[in-house]
Amino acid sequence: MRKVLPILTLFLFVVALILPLSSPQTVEGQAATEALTTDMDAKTDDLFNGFGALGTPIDECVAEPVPPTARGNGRFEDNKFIFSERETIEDGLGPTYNDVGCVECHQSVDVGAFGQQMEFRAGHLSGGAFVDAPGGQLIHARATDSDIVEHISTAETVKAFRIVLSTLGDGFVECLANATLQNNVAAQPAAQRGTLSQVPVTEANNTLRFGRFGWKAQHASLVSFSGDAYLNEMGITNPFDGFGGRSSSAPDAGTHENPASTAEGVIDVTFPSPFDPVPDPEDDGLDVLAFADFMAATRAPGRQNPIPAAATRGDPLFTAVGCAVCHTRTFTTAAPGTLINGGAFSVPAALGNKIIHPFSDFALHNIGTGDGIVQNAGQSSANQMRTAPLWGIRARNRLMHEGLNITIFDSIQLHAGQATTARNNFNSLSAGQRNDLIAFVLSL
Amino acid sequence: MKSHLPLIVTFLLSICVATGCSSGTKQAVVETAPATYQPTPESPPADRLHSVAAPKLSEVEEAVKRVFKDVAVIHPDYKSSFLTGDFNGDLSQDLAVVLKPVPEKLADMNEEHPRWLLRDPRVPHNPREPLHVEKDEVLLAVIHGYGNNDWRDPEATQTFLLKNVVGSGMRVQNGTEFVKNFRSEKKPRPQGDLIGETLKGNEGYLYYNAATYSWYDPKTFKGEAETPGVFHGRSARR
Repeated sequence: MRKVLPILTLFLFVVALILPLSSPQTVEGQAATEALTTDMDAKTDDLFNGFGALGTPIDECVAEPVPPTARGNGRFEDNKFIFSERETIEDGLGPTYNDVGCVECHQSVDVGAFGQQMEFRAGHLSGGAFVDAPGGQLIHARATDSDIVEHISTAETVKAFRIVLSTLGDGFVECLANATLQNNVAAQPAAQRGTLSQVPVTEANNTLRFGRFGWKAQHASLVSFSGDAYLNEMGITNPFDGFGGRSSSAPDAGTHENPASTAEGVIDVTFPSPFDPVPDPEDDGLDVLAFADFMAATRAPGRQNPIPAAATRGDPLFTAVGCAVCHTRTFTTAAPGTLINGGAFSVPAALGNKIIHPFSDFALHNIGTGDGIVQNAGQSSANQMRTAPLWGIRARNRLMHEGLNITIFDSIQLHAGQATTARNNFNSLSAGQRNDLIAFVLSL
Repeated sequence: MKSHLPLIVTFLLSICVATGCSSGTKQAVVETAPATYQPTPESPPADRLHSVAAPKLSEVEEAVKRVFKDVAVIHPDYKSSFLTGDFNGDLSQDLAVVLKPVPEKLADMNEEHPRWLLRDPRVPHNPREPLHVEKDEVLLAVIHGYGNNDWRDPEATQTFLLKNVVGSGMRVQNGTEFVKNFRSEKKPRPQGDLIGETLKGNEGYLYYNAATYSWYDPKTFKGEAETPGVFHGRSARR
């Protein structure tokens, strides 16, 4: 027994050392796995990626949806319901706005995806610099009162429409670390290298992070993006509406309703004006958390299934001609537990260490299609646009930022500036190869 | 029990030590804050357009061949068959040149995915009704400039091939002056220079806006076409 005891002690010591190290709680060093994808078919119930709880579809006759009180502590079905609700004047809708709910625009082919709607931005040049139109660059399409429907003067010579983007899979994009985006851009050839914009994260006291959402990459977190959209697209003030994608250049922009730019001049429409019966903030921020968590809990757009033979042939051509330089095929999200968004969000297990295929570098480039609008990336960004993520592009037929192009072929031919070499390489392909490459893009 | 005490103590201590060691790996990792990033300068100097040399026929032929290979040639019946200007407003000189298709290569000109964008600026673009180049048709090709050598650059190939817009008296109209001086309530918003000409007896302008070329007839212009998908009908696209 005296001999056995030291041996047994040593054995137990080794076991005690190994046990914690083999614990599944330790995530660093784990191999990354492919992110879950949706088949992009509204008839299939496959949007949920595992972030938070799933819950059950909401029936308002039975129970009201419950929003989260902090990121990730709500239920997907509740958040989806809130994302799909139509706002009313009593909720704070307007007085100027673009639509009545998230899903009104982000709907096709499934909740959270694309829409054909446009937002309209305008301004003018002063000394070569872009200046917002009076009352703000975002010219709302709708209002709750005909007296404040927005009109611009002919002095606003810079004008641009922007089509709705899909939000599916954006939770994975949010979980891309700054360094991941920066390393990718640094590896691009100098002539094609993108510009990463540093934008404020509203929920982290405006800490800077690399932008990745929106046509100008003007947002870095889904809460900032949602808070901005709630104010600027629906006219609902909230604690997160902030300064990130603000529609006005006023120093206190984002803390109240956007003023209306009318033929009679700029009108203050915020409470307690006769146009706005609801005190600010009109939302306590919980709806914003629901929007953000809904988007964060959606799966990434999946490939066409089955993949056509032409698309398989076009796959290597996409890289060979140079499309993949900016339309980056693959990223891996940060490890679970990583603090992102200025420390305001910890990467959850469902979104961490995931391999995604967004076909975008989320950086700004000048490809000759710039709209002249400046948001929060400085004057040099006027003619730059974020590389459009191509995942799920087969589900939309209005392309480029203005949605004026109907075909992939036209869109490719309109690539100029930093994309000139890639376009020329495409044109150097045989007719069959060009068809194959287009088939590949349409399989994404 | 007493004899097992060292064993139990050692085991518990081992767990404490091991747990203490591994807890370090569970500490939250904070993503790196953005470092100051210097983007690649990409805008050409503003005075570039002033130093562009007049085009020579051989240079124009080379540019046409670069894009169209052997399927189209400079139209021999037009004395002033080419113009240069910054038609798309990107501070790079572009080339507009009158072409005719080579009859034997008409099928190549009408392939599904050519190396140019075929448009008729006088009618709204409808992808469901693809345009075709006809035999002996008079076409205007606008080759957009790129890089240090503008339209002469070997990489300058982005081209719009325009139908039904070759008239008489073709000339370049400065875009800035047009916007400043043209007194009309309804006028287009060109991104760059315009091409003025008389087309079927009517004076008008060819201009680039919203990723395409359009025709502006001051007598009949009613505002630019509606953008598809806009919430409510604003008359202008940009």
